[in-house]
Amino acid sequence: MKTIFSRSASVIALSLAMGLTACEKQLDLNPAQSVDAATALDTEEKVGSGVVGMYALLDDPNLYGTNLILVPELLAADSTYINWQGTFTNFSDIANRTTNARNSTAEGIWRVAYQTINQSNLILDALPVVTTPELKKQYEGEARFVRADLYFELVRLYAKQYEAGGTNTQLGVPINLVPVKNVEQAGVQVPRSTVAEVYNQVITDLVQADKLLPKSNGTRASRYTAKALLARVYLQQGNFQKAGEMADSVITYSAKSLSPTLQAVFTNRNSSETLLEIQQNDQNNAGTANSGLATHFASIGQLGRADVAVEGYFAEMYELQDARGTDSLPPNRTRKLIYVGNGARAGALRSGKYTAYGQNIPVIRLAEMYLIRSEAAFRAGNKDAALLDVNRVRERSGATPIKAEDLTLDAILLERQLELAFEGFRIHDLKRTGKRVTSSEPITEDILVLPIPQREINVNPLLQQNPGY
Amino acid sequence: MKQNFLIPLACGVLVATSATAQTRTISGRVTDASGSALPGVTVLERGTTNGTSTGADGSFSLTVQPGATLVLSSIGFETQTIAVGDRTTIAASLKSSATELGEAVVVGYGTQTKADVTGSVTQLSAKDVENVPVVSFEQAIQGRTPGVTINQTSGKLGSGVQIRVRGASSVTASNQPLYVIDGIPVTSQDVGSDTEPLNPLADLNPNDIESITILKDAASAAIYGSRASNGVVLVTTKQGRQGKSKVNVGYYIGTSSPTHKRKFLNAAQYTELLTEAALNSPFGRLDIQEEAESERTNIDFNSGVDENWVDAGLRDGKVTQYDFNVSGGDAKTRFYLSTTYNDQTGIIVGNRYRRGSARINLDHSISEKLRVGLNLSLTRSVNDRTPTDNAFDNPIQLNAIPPLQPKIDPVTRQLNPNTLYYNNLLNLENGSNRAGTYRSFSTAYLNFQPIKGLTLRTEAGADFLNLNEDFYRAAGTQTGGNSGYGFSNQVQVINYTTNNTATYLKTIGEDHSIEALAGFSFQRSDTKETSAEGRGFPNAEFTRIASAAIKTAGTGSLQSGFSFISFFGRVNYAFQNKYLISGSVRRDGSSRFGSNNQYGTFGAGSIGWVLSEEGFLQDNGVLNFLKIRASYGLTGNAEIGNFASRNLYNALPYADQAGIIRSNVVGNPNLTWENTAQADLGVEFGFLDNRISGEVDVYEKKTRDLLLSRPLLYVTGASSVTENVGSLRNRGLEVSLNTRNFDKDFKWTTNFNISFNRSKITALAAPIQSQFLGSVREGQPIGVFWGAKYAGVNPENGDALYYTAEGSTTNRIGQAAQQKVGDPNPKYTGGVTNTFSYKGFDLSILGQFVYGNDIYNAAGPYQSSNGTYFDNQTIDQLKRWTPDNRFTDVPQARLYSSNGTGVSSRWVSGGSFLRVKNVTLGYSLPQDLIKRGYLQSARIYVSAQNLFTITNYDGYDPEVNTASFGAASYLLGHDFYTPPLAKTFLVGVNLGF
Repeated sequence: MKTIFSRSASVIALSLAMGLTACEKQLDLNPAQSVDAATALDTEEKVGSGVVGMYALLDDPNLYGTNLILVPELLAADSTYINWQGTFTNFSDIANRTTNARNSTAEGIWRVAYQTINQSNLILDALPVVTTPELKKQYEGEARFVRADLYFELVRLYAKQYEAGGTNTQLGVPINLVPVKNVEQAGVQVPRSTVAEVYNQVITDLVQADKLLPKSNGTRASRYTAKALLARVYLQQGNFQKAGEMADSVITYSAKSLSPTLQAVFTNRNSSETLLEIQQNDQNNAGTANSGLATHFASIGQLGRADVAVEGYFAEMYELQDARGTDSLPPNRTRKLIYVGNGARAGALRSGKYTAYGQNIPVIRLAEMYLIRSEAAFRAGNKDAALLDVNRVRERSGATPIKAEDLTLDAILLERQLELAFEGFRIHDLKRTGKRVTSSEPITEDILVLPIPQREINVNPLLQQNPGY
Repeated sequence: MKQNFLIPLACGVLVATSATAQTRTISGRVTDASGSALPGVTVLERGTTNGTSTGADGSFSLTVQPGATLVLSSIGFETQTIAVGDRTTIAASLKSSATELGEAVVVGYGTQTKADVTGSVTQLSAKDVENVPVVSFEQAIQGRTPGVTINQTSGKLGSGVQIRVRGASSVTASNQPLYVIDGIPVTSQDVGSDTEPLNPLADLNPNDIESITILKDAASAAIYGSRASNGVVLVTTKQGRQGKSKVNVGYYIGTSSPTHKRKFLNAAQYTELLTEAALNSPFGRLDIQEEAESERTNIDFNSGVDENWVDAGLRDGKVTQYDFNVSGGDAKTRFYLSTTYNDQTGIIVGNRYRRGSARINLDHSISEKLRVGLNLSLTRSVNDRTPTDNAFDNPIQLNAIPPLQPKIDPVTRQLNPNTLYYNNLLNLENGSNRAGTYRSFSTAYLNFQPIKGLTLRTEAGADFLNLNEDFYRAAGTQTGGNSGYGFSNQVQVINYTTNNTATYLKTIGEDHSIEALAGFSFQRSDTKETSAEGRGFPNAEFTRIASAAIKTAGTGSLQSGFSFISFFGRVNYAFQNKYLISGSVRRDGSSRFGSNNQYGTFGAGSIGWVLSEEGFLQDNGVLNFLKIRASYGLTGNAEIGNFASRNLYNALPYADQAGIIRSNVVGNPNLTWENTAQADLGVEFGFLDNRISGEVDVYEKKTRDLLLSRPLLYVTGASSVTENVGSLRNRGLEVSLNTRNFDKDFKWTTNFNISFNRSKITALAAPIQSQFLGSVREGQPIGVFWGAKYAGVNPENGDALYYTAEGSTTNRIGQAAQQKVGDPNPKYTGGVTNTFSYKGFDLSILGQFVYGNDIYNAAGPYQSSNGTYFDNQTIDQLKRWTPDNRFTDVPQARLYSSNGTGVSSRWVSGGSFLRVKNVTLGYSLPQDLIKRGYLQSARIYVSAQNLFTITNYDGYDPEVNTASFGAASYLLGHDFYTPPLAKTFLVGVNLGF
């Protein structure tokens, strides 16, 4: 009896022990849709995927997928331009200038911009495994370009305008250049740098990127994309001479040319005109229901929420023959870039730049370079060169050329608004030129700067909120 | 894959040696107190699983070891223990019992007699869940479970049911109990893709259930270790018993209607309110018809139409069920075979649930020492679903359409597509939303008794779940857009478990009895999901994604899984059946836990003292039974997500290029389960020949290491990390009382239970606030309503007012103080069942009550907002402020003005209710009559479910909690266009052959 019992017990013990060793491995399950961070960027190919991922983040609705284009427009919404009709209060608060520090759009841009900046920091950190010298230079250039681009977007949205010739010690945004890989690093509190420091960082990265990037890089950032962005940065700083030089370099050497029509830049993919274009398709895009540019702008049958209406006042600023204006026809019959919506909120004017969920999103295009060069030339007193460039843009869309005697700075700035309307330029142009949004509000109003997200201030007491929030 | 599957099955399969000993055969007869034969009594050799049951004449025969003790048990009778000695025949008489003290109770990896249990458990039997017109069994036991609150959350067929055992013990992880069917933990969480959860437990046919045991305290649940904090529900399916084969045929048919409908304005009232609202608009005195046109609402204020859109989304439903089962067997082989078909047409338009299921439970004695068995079920269910509450497709949202707009366009005689909001009745004719399930629960086991008292058992079980979701909307519907939309999703969950246990039972002399259990268990669950989404169908006759021109972003293929390795043991010791002591321990390892914390140990201890066995209380005419017990132990909650501990990179495509990005959720290698320590004190009693019996428990549950997401600095590229921080506490009291009021020819019994639970968050990283009122805050109960407090209406101007921090009022909600404005947790819940029988008639009435909770109507800003927009308004909005009606709590009607429409306590109301849950009147035909029809039994019955509800809540139904705002377990008591429950009347018949 006793022997039977002890024998049974030992058999049980043995089989349990065997079972244990066999099963231990069963606890090491790995996720199927993800890979561990430790090995995610440990080869050249994987770093290459990380670079693609960095571009993919740029298409997030919080970045160029929607917000970095839409928000600068909404901040400048008024009865002479556009009007927000949608139900999303995060956007209507921006358009109505009733934003508070809990605005989800202000939080979203901040969150994804810094996530993408960290992605570029991680790529820079992983470069030692990239053994092909050309790829190493290219990846570093792309990471620096994206990082610079996002710091530039952040400092324009979350800080007061850069004052040309000033010390620019007004608060900018925090700068983080270390790759964050674990929870300890993610707890490091960083205060806001000054606007001057952020611009310096942006220019440092872009100058590097200019040297590192190849002259041609498919649909991704090339040397000329970096130069084009530099032109934009210098322009925002009021450094017109350098802005003009950079724009000139892009126009002269990039081999880009104006597309025959502006419409084609938006409906076709990767036209001859674009220097940076966010790639989308029907499967991978910024959204079809609650986000995405076509979602907010379009009113074409069942497509689009028709949230952004173009004011008639603005549409009438185009000449009758200007292809960028309107012929008051529905989207299926119009030959112009502003149509009368026939879907949601039918009857109002809509921009024809965003008409399909899966279309690419042009971010920097050659026409902007002509306008920068024109403005720089005008401000330098070279009216002939300025006239040539501004009219090049006008003539492409069938507008009558400006006569030499009519050329003023305001005419060039108006042309920027007409050409680059709905593309995320408006508030930034108003801020750098000191023009008013509406007759009652000066452009230096606190509310025209986005709030530092309250949620971020809660976890980082070093962050100082913008005035007015 | 094959290898992966085999390894766990090989894990710990026990090999044991055989042994021989002398055996003998005993025969006997069991009768009731009046001497008539008792069929179906379970006769068990104590400490073994060797047993049989009595035949129609009450007789049995069983081969036992020498010195065996027999345990005779039957539902409704007190269990009797008889030492065999050298007898070969035994005559026994069982005392009937209204208490269930003698009843066998299913516990983790075994059974115990109720009187010996030192933990807190609630057991329900087949009669509680049979033939109730519900989809899943949890819905049938509402009101019968002290300490366990069950909320159906909505009237959608087959959707999720919310169960809380002794309160919520988690903030972010699941609060649903662990479900174990025939020893196998099953998939009980929604695996579908829709926001509206499906209930995977609906795949178990309630008529196959023999018993449901809910393990509530640590002593009973800790044997399930890291998954026991939310309680454990053990379901045992019916087994065949030795004896004549029994054939049962059942059928019922019934009709259903909504329990209640919220009342909205009719055409005249709507016109009056909106016309007035337009005149008071902040943009001046507006003309309502002009506004309706400029807003393109398609409302014609002169249409003369008076449509009832509330009724349009609801209808009368139907229920039918066909049920057939056979059970029986001989000394060697027992079987239970069943098939059921259940068809329910819901009260929400478009909602229908059908389930066909078959089950075979077999058990065979190879020899006296060796027994094998197999439980196997296969279920097919088809659910025509109702969309999530927060969708224009939800038929309840039709109530927002103004009564001036007709349902049917008078010109085209077709459904009117030009309504203020989408007329989702169009969906019914132009699409489908169907979830089809194939499900199989199975358990195979081998039972071996090498020597007396020692039982080795190995069981392997699998739970296969295959879900097909098909969603199609033709062109012309809202989702279908210009060209049609289709989505198809296939989910396969394979979940297998092996349990290997050794149980040793020993009685030493008359005084000491010991039961020891040791075991090993392994579980692995794998989920695979493949989905496809398409737009652009040639026409409405093409409904599959293959026909779609564009395959869009919802297309995907996913896989996930988890595993558990567990070792466990338990010892129960009883001295003279008076002093009881028990301890259990379990060590769990899981793939879900962080690498620094992969194993955890959970244990519990309990003691009991049966005072009524003491000399000073024995032979006491008043007191029959008295036991006090206490337990303390530690359990865990492992529902923390499968890979939350890891730092991960995910794929993110850039148009047609493949990219990867670092997840902005930072991994935490220290991540571990949530820990709950629970103390329980209980007393069980029986008085006056057990005519009054009951149970009282008090408990305190302290949960620490709550899994919370801690916000990180966005600036570092991170968003959050999941950590074990935070703690909460639940304290409660539960009382159940059973009385036999009359016990002659006319029998009347009453079962009453009431439960009190108080929860409090004791530590938290940061407050959690939903965009509604639901919130988690330190020092407050879970889910506390937090927000602006509505202060009524300014009698001077009709402005809505809110309280500021200083206690004054303001008409700007932004300046209102954020404060506690309600509590969705009931002060107490319970139920009362009265059962009457006389001759062949039986009547049972089940009442259920919930008291002291608040409900927030999250649709208030749209439907009870004094005409701020064109949505039809609830009838109470007629009380709006006017210069002639200055003292009211409804602000002045103002079109386009947010006068009182911000999220606030304005739409918080009491959610207490008393519901007559079930009334069943049955008549069993007398024996002499049925014998003529070759029948063994025949019963006809009529039954009403949710017969009536007494409540002050003026919404659809107070038993509500919308699932449309995600699965956040702290979001309680929110109503958002949520459909009501069904009130069902049915008539049925059960025949036994």
